[in-house]
Amino acid sequence: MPTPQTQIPTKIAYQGFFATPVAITHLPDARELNIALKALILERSMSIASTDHSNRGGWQSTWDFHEWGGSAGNVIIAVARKAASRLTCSRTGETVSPNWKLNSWANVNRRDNGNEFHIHPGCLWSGTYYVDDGGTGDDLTLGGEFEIQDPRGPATIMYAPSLAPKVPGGLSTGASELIRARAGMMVLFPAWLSHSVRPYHGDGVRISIAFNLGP
Amino acid sequence: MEAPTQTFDIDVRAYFATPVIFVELEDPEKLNLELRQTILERRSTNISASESTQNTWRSGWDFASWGGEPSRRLLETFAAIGNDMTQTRLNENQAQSTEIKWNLSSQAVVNPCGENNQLYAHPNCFWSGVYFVDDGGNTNDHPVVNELELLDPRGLAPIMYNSNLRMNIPGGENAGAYHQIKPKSGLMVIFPSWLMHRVNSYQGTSTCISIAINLFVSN
Repeated sequence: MPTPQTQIPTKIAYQGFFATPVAITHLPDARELNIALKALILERSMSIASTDHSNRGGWQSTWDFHEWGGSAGNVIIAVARKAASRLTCSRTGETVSPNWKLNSWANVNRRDNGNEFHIHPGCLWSGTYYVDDGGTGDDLTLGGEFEIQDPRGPATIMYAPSLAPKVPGGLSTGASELIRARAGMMVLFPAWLSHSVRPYHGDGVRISIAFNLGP
Repeated sequence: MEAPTQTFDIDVRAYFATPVIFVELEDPEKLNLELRQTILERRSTNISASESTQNTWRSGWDFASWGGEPSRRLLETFAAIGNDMTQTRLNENQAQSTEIKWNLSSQAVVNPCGENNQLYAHPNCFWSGVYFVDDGGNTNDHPVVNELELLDPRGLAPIMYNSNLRMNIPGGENAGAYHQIKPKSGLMVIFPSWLMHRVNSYQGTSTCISIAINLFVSN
Protein backbone atom coordinates (compact mmCIF):
# COMPACT_ATOMS: atom_id res chain seq x y z
CA MET A 1 0.00 0.00 0.00
CA PRO A 2 2.65 2.63 0.76
CA THR A 3 3.70 4.49 -2.34
CA PRO A 4 6.77 6.49 -1.36
CA GLN A 5 6.39 9.06 -4.12
CA THR A 6 3.19 10.38 -2.56
CA GLN A 7 4.43 10.49 1.01
CA ILE A 8 4.93 13.76 2.79
CA PRO A 9 8.49 14.54 3.93
CA THR A 10 8.76 14.06 7.67
CA LYS A 11 11.07 14.15 10.66
CA ILE A 12 10.62 10.98 12.70
CA ALA A 13 11.63 10.49 16.33
CA TYR A 14 11.18 7.20 18.18
CA GLN A 15 10.75 7.09 21.94
CA GLY A 16 10.44 4.08 24.22
CA PHE A 17 7.83 4.80 26.91
CA PHE A 18 7.26 2.88 30.17
CA ALA A 19 10.52 0.93 29.98
CA THR A 20 11.25 -1.52 32.78
CA PRO A 21 14.80 -1.22 34.14
CA VAL A 22 17.10 -4.11 34.95
CA ALA A 23 20.46 -3.09 36.41
CA ILE A 24 23.55 -5.23 35.90
CA THR A 25 26.62 -4.74 38.08
CA HIS A 26 29.89 -6.68 38.03
CA LEU A 27 31.45 -6.52 41.48
CA PRO A 28 35.08 -5.53 41.78
CA ASP A 29 37.22 -8.21 43.48
CA ALA A 30 34.45 -10.79 43.10
CA ARG A 31 36.84 -13.75 42.98
CA GLU A 32 37.93 -13.46 46.60
CA LEU A 33 34.35 -12.83 47.75
CA ASN A 34 33.03 -15.81 45.85
CA ILE A 35 35.54 -18.25 47.35
CA ALA A 36 34.43 -17.25 50.85
CA LEU A 37 30.72 -17.24 50.01
CA LYS A 38 30.83 -20.60 48.24
CA ALA A 39 32.41 -22.35 51.24
CA LEU A 40 29.97 -20.73 53.65
CA ILE A 41 26.83 -21.47 51.65
CA LEU A 42 27.74 -25.06 50.74
CA GLU A 43 28.50 -25.84 54.36
CA ARG A 44 25.14 -24.43 55.45
CA SER A 45 23.29 -26.31 52.71
CA MET A 46 24.61 -29.58 54.10
CA SER A 47 23.54 -28.90 57.69
CA ILE A 48 20.19 -27.08 57.40
CA ALA A 49 17.10 -28.24 55.47
CA SER A 50 15.93 -26.36 52.38
CA THR A 51 12.95 -24.06 52.35
CA ASP A 52 10.46 -24.37 49.51
CA HIS A 53 9.11 -21.37 47.58
CA SER A 54 9.41 -20.84 43.81
CA ASN A 55 12.36 -23.21 43.56
CA ARG A 56 12.11 -26.40 41.55
CA GLY A 57 14.56 -28.57 43.41
CA GLY A 58 17.86 -27.36 44.75
CA TRP A 59 18.51 -25.92 48.20
CA GLN A 60 17.24 -22.55 49.43
CA SER A 61 18.15 -21.05 52.78
CA THR A 62 15.88 -19.18 55.15
CA TRP A 63 15.43 -15.43 54.55
CA ASP A 64 18.22 -14.42 56.91
CA PHE A 65 21.37 -14.70 54.80
CA HIS A 66 22.37 -11.18 55.88
CA GLU A 67 22.64 -12.47 59.46
CA TRP A 68 24.96 -15.39 58.74
CA GLY A 69 26.71 -14.32 55.50
CA GLY A 70 29.75 -12.94 57.32
CA SER A 71 31.94 -10.16 55.98
CA ALA A 72 31.68 -11.36 52.37
CA GLY A 73 27.91 -11.42 52.68
CA ASN A 74 27.97 -7.89 54.08
CA VAL A 75 29.76 -6.69 50.95
CA ILE A 76 27.04 -8.13 48.73
CA ILE A 77 24.26 -6.58 50.81
CA ALA A 78 26.04 -3.20 50.88
CA VAL A 79 26.37 -3.15 47.09
CA ALA A 80 22.71 -4.16 46.73
CA ARG A 81 21.66 -1.25 48.96
CA LYS A 82 23.79 1.23 47.03
CA ALA A 83 22.52 0.02 43.68
CA ALA A 84 18.90 0.18 44.86
CA SER A 85 19.39 3.76 46.08
CA ARG A 86 20.88 4.74 42.74
CA LEU A 87 17.88 3.29 40.91
CA THR A 88 15.35 5.08 43.09
CA CYS A 89 14.22 8.71 43.13
CA SER A 90 11.34 10.76 44.49
CA ARG A 91 8.17 11.46 42.50
CA THR A 92 9.80 14.65 41.28
CA GLY A 93 13.09 13.02 40.31
CA GLU A 94 15.15 14.02 43.35
CA THR A 95 17.81 11.81 44.88
CA VAL A 96 16.62 9.79 47.86
CA SER A 97 18.43 7.68 50.46
CA PRO A 98 15.88 5.17 51.70
CA ASN A 99 16.61 3.22 54.83
CA TRP A 100 16.35 -0.14 53.08
CA LYS A 101 14.85 -3.06 54.93
CA LEU A 102 15.73 -6.38 53.42
CA ASN A 103 15.48 -10.09 53.45
CA SER A 104 18.00 -12.30 51.69
CA TRP A 105 18.67 -15.95 51.10
CA ALA A 106 21.14 -18.28 49.43
CA ASN A 107 20.38 -20.78 46.66
CA VAL A 108 22.25 -23.89 45.55
CA ASN A 109 21.13 -25.39 42.26
CA ARG A 110 22.38 -28.53 40.56
CA ARG A 111 21.29 -30.35 37.40
CA ASP A 112 17.61 -29.75 36.44
CA ASN A 113 17.06 -27.24 39.28
CA GLY A 114 15.51 -23.84 38.57
CA ASN A 115 12.76 -21.47 39.73
CA GLU A 116 9.16 -21.05 38.57
CA PHE A 117 7.95 -17.61 37.46
CA HIS A 118 7.24 -15.45 40.49
CA ILE A 119 7.29 -11.88 41.84
CA HIS A 120 8.16 -10.41 45.25
CA PRO A 121 5.23 -8.41 46.67
CA GLY A 122 5.84 -6.17 49.66
CA CYS A 123 9.11 -4.61 48.49
CA LEU A 124 10.47 -2.26 45.83
CA TRP A 125 13.55 -3.94 44.33
CA SER A 126 14.64 -7.55 44.04
CA GLY A 127 17.97 -8.91 42.99
CA THR A 128 20.40 -11.76 42.69
CA TYR A 129 24.16 -12.02 43.08
CA TYR A 130 25.87 -14.97 41.38
CA VAL A 131 28.55 -16.63 43.50
CA ASP A 132 29.10 -19.51 41.05
CA ASP A 133 27.42 -19.70 37.63
CA GLY A 134 28.10 -23.43 37.24
CA GLY A 135 29.69 -22.77 33.84
CA THR A 136 26.54 -21.20 32.36
CA GLY A 137 28.34 -17.88 31.82
CA ASP A 138 30.55 -19.43 29.16
CA ASP A 139 28.54 -22.39 27.85
CA LEU A 140 25.21 -21.48 26.25
CA THR A 141 24.01 -25.11 26.30
CA LEU A 142 23.92 -25.32 30.10
CA GLY A 143 20.71 -23.28 30.59
CA GLY A 144 20.18 -21.54 33.93
CA GLU A 145 19.24 -18.22 32.35
CA PHE A 146 17.44 -15.55 34.35
CA GLU A 147 14.18 -14.94 32.46
CA ILE A 148 11.92 -11.88 32.73
CA GLN A 149 8.38 -11.69 31.37
CA ASP A 150 6.90 -8.75 29.47
CA PRO A 151 5.03 -6.87 32.23
CA ARG A 152 2.63 -5.40 29.65
CA GLY A 153 0.80 -8.71 29.37
CA PRO A 154 -0.59 -10.70 26.44
CA ALA A 155 -2.58 -7.86 24.83
CA THR A 156 0.64 -6.76 23.17
CA ILE A 157 0.80 -9.85 20.99
CA MET A 158 -2.80 -11.06 20.58
CA TYR A 159 -3.64 -9.38 17.28
CA ALA A 160 -0.68 -10.20 15.03
CA PRO A 161 1.76 -12.63 16.68
CA SER A 162 3.86 -12.82 13.51
CA LEU A 163 4.57 -9.07 13.64
CA ALA A 164 6.52 -6.97 16.10
CA PRO A 165 7.52 -3.31 16.43
CA LYS A 166 10.85 -2.73 14.67
CA VAL A 167 12.52 -1.12 17.69
CA PRO A 168 15.21 -2.25 20.14
CA GLY A 169 13.76 -5.20 22.07
CA GLY A 170 10.66 -5.26 19.86
CA LEU A 171 10.91 -9.01 19.24
CA SER A 172 10.35 -9.84 22.92
CA THR A 173 7.03 -7.95 22.96
CA GLY A 174 4.46 -10.14 24.71
CA ALA A 175 7.15 -12.71 25.48
CA SER A 176 10.31 -12.78 27.59
CA GLU A 177 13.98 -11.79 27.70
CA LEU A 178 16.89 -13.90 28.92
CA ILE A 179 19.84 -12.66 30.96
CA ARG A 180 22.89 -14.89 31.25
CA ALA A 181 24.31 -15.20 34.73
CA ARG A 182 28.03 -14.78 35.39
CA ALA A 183 29.88 -15.27 38.66
CA GLY A 184 30.47 -11.87 40.23
CA MET A 185 27.41 -10.31 38.57
CA MET A 186 24.49 -8.72 40.38
CA VAL A 187 21.06 -8.22 38.78
CA LEU A 188 18.63 -5.73 40.29
CA PHE A 189 15.05 -5.39 39.02
CA PRO A 190 11.61 -4.14 40.11
CA ALA A 191 10.09 -6.54 42.63
CA TRP A 192 6.84 -6.64 40.60
CA LEU A 193 8.59 -7.97 37.47
CA SER A 194 7.71 -11.63 36.91
CA HIS A 195 10.89 -13.71 36.60
CA SER A 196 12.15 -17.28 36.63
CA VAL A 197 15.36 -19.28 36.46
CA ARG A 198 15.53 -21.80 33.64
CA PRO A 199 16.65 -25.32 34.57
CA TYR A 200 20.40 -25.92 34.82
CA HIS A 201 21.74 -28.62 32.49
CA GLY A 202 25.30 -28.86 33.82
CA ASP A 203 27.10 -31.13 36.26
CA GLY A 204 28.52 -28.31 38.38
CA VAL A 205 26.87 -26.30 41.10
CA ARG A 206 25.17 -22.92 40.80
CA ILE A 207 25.22 -20.71 43.86
CA SER A 208 23.44 -17.39 44.19
CA ILE A 209 22.28 -14.92 46.81
CA ALA A 210 18.84 -13.37 46.35
CA PHE A 211 17.47 -10.36 48.17
CA ASN A 212 14.47 -8.03 48.44
CA LEU A 213 14.71 -4.36 49.38
CA GLY A 214 11.98 -1.98 50.47
CA PRO A 215 12.06 1.28 52.43
CA MET B 1 36.08 -7.61 53.97
CA GLU B 2 34.50 -4.19 53.67
CA ALA B 3 31.90 -2.92 51.26
CA PRO B 4 33.67 -1.56 48.18
CA THR B 5 34.21 2.13 48.60
CA GLN B 6 35.06 2.75 44.97
CA THR B 7 32.31 3.58 42.54
CA PHE B 8 31.01 0.49 40.79
CA ASP B 9 29.48 0.69 37.36
CA ILE B 10 25.80 -0.04 36.93
CA ASP B 11 24.53 -0.91 33.49
CA VAL B 12 20.83 0.01 33.56
CA ARG B 13 19.08 -1.75 30.69
CA ALA B 14 15.62 -0.70 29.52
CA TYR B 15 13.39 -3.68 28.75
CA PHE B 16 9.91 -3.93 27.26
CA ALA B 17 9.65 -0.26 26.26
CA THR B 18 6.46 0.73 24.45
CA PRO B 19 7.23 2.40 21.12
CA VAL B 20 5.77 5.83 20.47
CA ILE B 21 6.69 7.49 17.21
CA PHE B 22 6.62 11.25 16.83
CA VAL B 23 6.34 12.40 13.23
CA GLU B 24 6.60 16.05 12.29
CA LEU B 25 5.42 16.82 8.79
CA GLU B 26 7.59 19.28 6.92
CA ASP B 27 5.75 22.44 5.90
CA PRO B 28 2.30 21.16 6.89
CA GLU B 29 0.51 24.51 6.62
CA LYS B 30 -0.95 24.02 3.11
CA LEU B 31 -1.97 20.44 3.81
CA ASN B 32 -3.58 21.47 7.11
CA LEU B 33 -5.57 24.24 5.44
CA GLU B 34 -6.92 21.78 2.87
CA LEU B 35 -7.74 19.17 5.50
CA ARG B 36 -9.38 21.77 7.72
CA GLN B 37 -11.60 23.01 4.91
CA THR B 38 -12.61 19.50 3.87
CA ILE B 39 -13.39 18.40 7.43
CA LEU B 40 -15.37 21.53 8.39
CA GLU B 41 -17.37 21.27 5.18
CA ARG B 42 -18.19 17.68 5.99
CA ARG B 43 -19.21 18.66 9.50
CA SER B 44 -21.62 21.26 8.16
CA THR B 45 -23.57 18.62 6.24
CA ASN B 46 -23.23 15.52 8.41
CA ILE B 47 -24.20 14.91 12.02
CA SER B 48 -21.60 13.50 14.38
CA ALA B 49 -21.20 9.75 13.92
CA SER B 50 -21.07 9.16 17.64
CA GLU B 51 -23.26 10.64 20.31
CA SER B 52 -21.36 13.49 21.83
CA THR B 53 -21.73 16.47 24.03
CA GLN B 54 -20.83 20.12 23.73
CA ASN B 55 -19.38 21.10 20.40
CA THR B 56 -17.71 17.82 19.47
CA TRP B 57 -18.07 16.29 16.04
CA ARG B 58 -16.76 12.93 14.84
CA SER B 59 -16.94 11.53 11.33
CA GLY B 60 -17.38 7.81 10.72
CA TRP B 61 -14.24 5.72 10.27
CA ASP B 62 -14.46 6.56 6.56
CA PHE B 63 -12.37 9.71 6.38
CA ALA B 64 -10.37 8.21 3.48
CA SER B 65 -13.50 7.97 1.33
CA TRP B 66 -14.30 11.71 1.46
CA GLY B 67 -11.02 13.34 2.47
CA GLY B 68 -9.76 13.69 -1.08
CA GLU B 69 -6.14 14.00 -2.18
CA PRO B 70 -4.84 15.53 1.08
CA SER B 71 -6.22 12.63 3.11
CA ARG B 72 -4.68 10.14 0.69
CA ARG B 73 -1.23 11.67 1.11
CA LEU B 74 -1.59 11.85 4.86
CA LEU B 75 -2.80 8.26 5.25
CA GLU B 76 -0.17 6.87 2.91
CA THR B 77 2.48 8.62 4.97
CA PHE B 78 1.05 7.05 8.13
CA ALA B 79 0.97 3.60 6.50
CA ALA B 80 4.53 3.90 5.19
CA ILE B 81 5.89 4.83 8.61
CA GLY B 82 3.86 2.07 10.29
CA ASN B 83 5.25 -0.39 7.77
CA ASP B 84 8.82 0.82 8.35
CA MET B 85 8.34 0.39 12.11
CA THR B 86 7.17 -3.23 11.79
CA GLN B 87 9.21 -6.40 11.56
CA THR B 88 8.30 -10.03 11.06
CA ARG B 89 8.97 -12.57 13.79
CA LEU B 90 10.80 -15.31 11.96
CA ASN B 91 11.14 -18.99 12.56
CA GLU B 92 14.61 -20.18 11.59
CA ASN B 93 13.52 -21.76 8.31
CA GLN B 94 11.02 -19.11 7.33
CA ALA B 95 11.83 -16.66 4.59
CA GLN B 96 11.66 -12.95 5.35
CA SER B 97 8.31 -11.53 4.40
CA THR B 98 9.04 -8.49 2.27
CA GLU B 99 5.57 -7.09 2.22
CA ILE B 100 2.84 -6.80 4.80
CA LYS B 101 -0.57 -6.00 3.31
CA TRP B 102 -1.91 -3.11 5.36
CA ASN B 103 -5.30 -1.50 5.52
CA LEU B 104 -6.40 1.72 7.20
CA SER B 105 -9.37 3.21 8.96
CA SER B 106 -9.54 6.87 9.90
CA GLN B 107 -11.86 9.35 11.55
CA ALA B 108 -11.88 13.14 11.68
CA VAL B 109 -12.55 14.72 15.09
CA VAL B 110 -13.45 18.35 15.79
CA ASN B 111 -13.25 19.77 19.32
CA PRO B 112 -12.87 16.53 21.30
CA CYS B 113 -14.71 16.90 24.57
CA GLY B 114 -12.97 14.00 26.25
CA GLU B 115 -16.12 11.84 26.37
CA ASN B 116 -15.88 11.87 30.15
CA ASN B 117 -12.22 10.91 29.99
CA GLN B 118 -13.12 7.52 28.59
CA LEU B 119 -10.19 5.21 27.99
CA TYR B 120 -9.94 3.26 24.80
CA ALA B 121 -7.68 1.11 22.67
CA HIS B 122 -8.15 -0.28 19.14
CA PRO B 123 -8.59 -4.07 18.98
CA ASN B 124 -8.09 -5.69 15.55
CA CYS B 125 -5.40 -3.15 14.67
CA PHE B 126 -1.59 -3.05 14.94
CA TRP B 127 -0.66 0.65 14.91
CA SER B 128 -2.89 3.52 15.95
CA GLY B 129 -2.29 7.21 16.00
CA VAL B 130 -3.44 10.73 15.58
CA TYR B 131 -2.58 13.60 13.27
CA PHE B 132 -3.18 17.11 14.58
CA VAL B 133 -4.58 19.28 11.78
CA ASP B 134 -5.22 22.23 14.08
CA ASP B 135 -4.13 22.31 17.71
CA GLY B 136 -6.76 24.95 18.44
CA GLY B 137 -4.24 27.50 19.63
CA ASN B 138 -2.56 25.20 22.13
CA THR B 139 0.56 27.16 23.04
CA ASN B 140 2.61 27.31 26.21
CA ASP B 141 1.09 30.72 26.95
CA HIS B 142 -2.47 29.55 26.38
CA PRO B 143 -2.79 25.83 27.14
CA VAL B 144 -6.18 24.49 26.16
CA VAL B 145 -5.78 21.10 27.77
CA ASN B 146 -6.73 18.56 25.09
CA GLU B 147 -3.65 16.42 25.62
CA LEU B 148 -3.33 12.86 24.41
CA GLU B 149 -2.68 10.63 27.42
CA LEU B 150 -1.03 7.22 27.06
CA LEU B 151 -1.50 4.92 30.05
CA ASP B 152 1.21 2.75 31.56
CA PRO B 153 0.47 -0.73 30.13
CA ARG B 154 2.00 -2.32 33.25
CA GLY B 155 -0.87 -1.03 35.35
CA LEU B 156 -0.36 0.18 38.89
CA ALA B 157 2.26 -2.40 39.87
CA PRO B 158 5.20 0.07 39.72
CA ILE B 159 3.67 2.35 42.36
CA MET B 160 1.53 0.05 44.53
CA TYR B 161 4.19 -0.67 47.13
CA ASN B 162 5.30 2.93 47.64
CA SER B 163 3.70 5.72 45.61
CA ASN B 164 6.23 8.30 46.83
CA LEU B 165 9.13 6.63 45.03
CA ARG B 166 9.90 6.22 41.34
CA MET B 167 12.39 4.27 39.22
CA ASN B 168 15.28 6.64 38.50
CA ILE B 169 15.27 6.22 34.71
CA PRO B 170 14.11 8.45 31.84
CA GLY B 171 10.30 8.55 31.96
CA GLY B 172 10.28 6.86 35.38
CA GLU B 173 8.10 9.66 36.76
CA ASN B 174 5.22 8.36 34.61
CA ALA B 175 5.38 4.77 35.86
CA GLY B 176 2.01 3.55 37.08
CA ALA B 177 0.36 6.59 35.50
CA TYR B 178 0.46 8.15 32.02
CA HIS B 179 2.50 10.10 29.49
CA GLN B 180 0.92 13.32 28.32
CA ILE B 181 1.41 14.58 24.75
CA LYS B 182 0.41 18.10 23.85
CA PRO B 183 -1.27 18.54 20.43
CA LYS B 184 0.69 20.51 17.85
CA SER B 185 -0.49 21.30 14.31
CA GLY B 186 1.50 19.13 11.89
CA LEU B 187 2.41 16.49 14.48
CA MET B 188 1.54 12.82 14.02
CA VAL B 189 1.85 10.39 16.93
CA ILE B 190 1.87 6.63 16.31
CA PHE B 191 1.65 3.95 19.04
CA PRO B 192 0.65 0.28 19.41
CA SER B 193 -3.10 -0.22 19.05
CA TRP B 194 -3.27 -2.13 22.36
CA LEU B 195 -2.06 0.90 24.33
CA MET B 196 -4.90 2.41 26.37
CA HIS B 197 -5.27 6.13 25.77
CA ARG B 198 -7.63 9.05 26.17
CA VAL B 199 -7.92 12.66 25.06
CA ASN B 200 -8.64 15.43 27.53
CA SER B 201 -11.42 17.87 26.62
CA TYR B 202 -10.60 20.81 24.39
CA GLN B 203 -11.23 23.97 26.38
CA GLY B 204 -10.12 26.63 23.92
CA THR B 205 -12.28 29.04 22.01
CA SER B 206 -10.89 28.25 18.55
CA THR B 207 -11.39 25.00 16.61
CA CYS B 208 -9.33 21.90 17.36
CA ILE B 209 -9.15 19.33 14.55
CA SER B 210 -7.46 15.93 14.55
CA ILE B 211 -7.56 12.71 12.56
CA ALA B 212 -7.49 9.33 14.31
CA ILE B 213 -5.88 6.60 12.22
CA ASN B 214 -5.66 2.81 12.62
CA LEU B 215 -3.41 0.51 10.61
CA PHE B 216 -4.35 -3.16 10.41
CA VAL B 217 -3.44 -6.21 8.36
CA SER B 218 -5.61 -7.02 5.35
CA ASN B 219 -7.21 -10.45 5.34
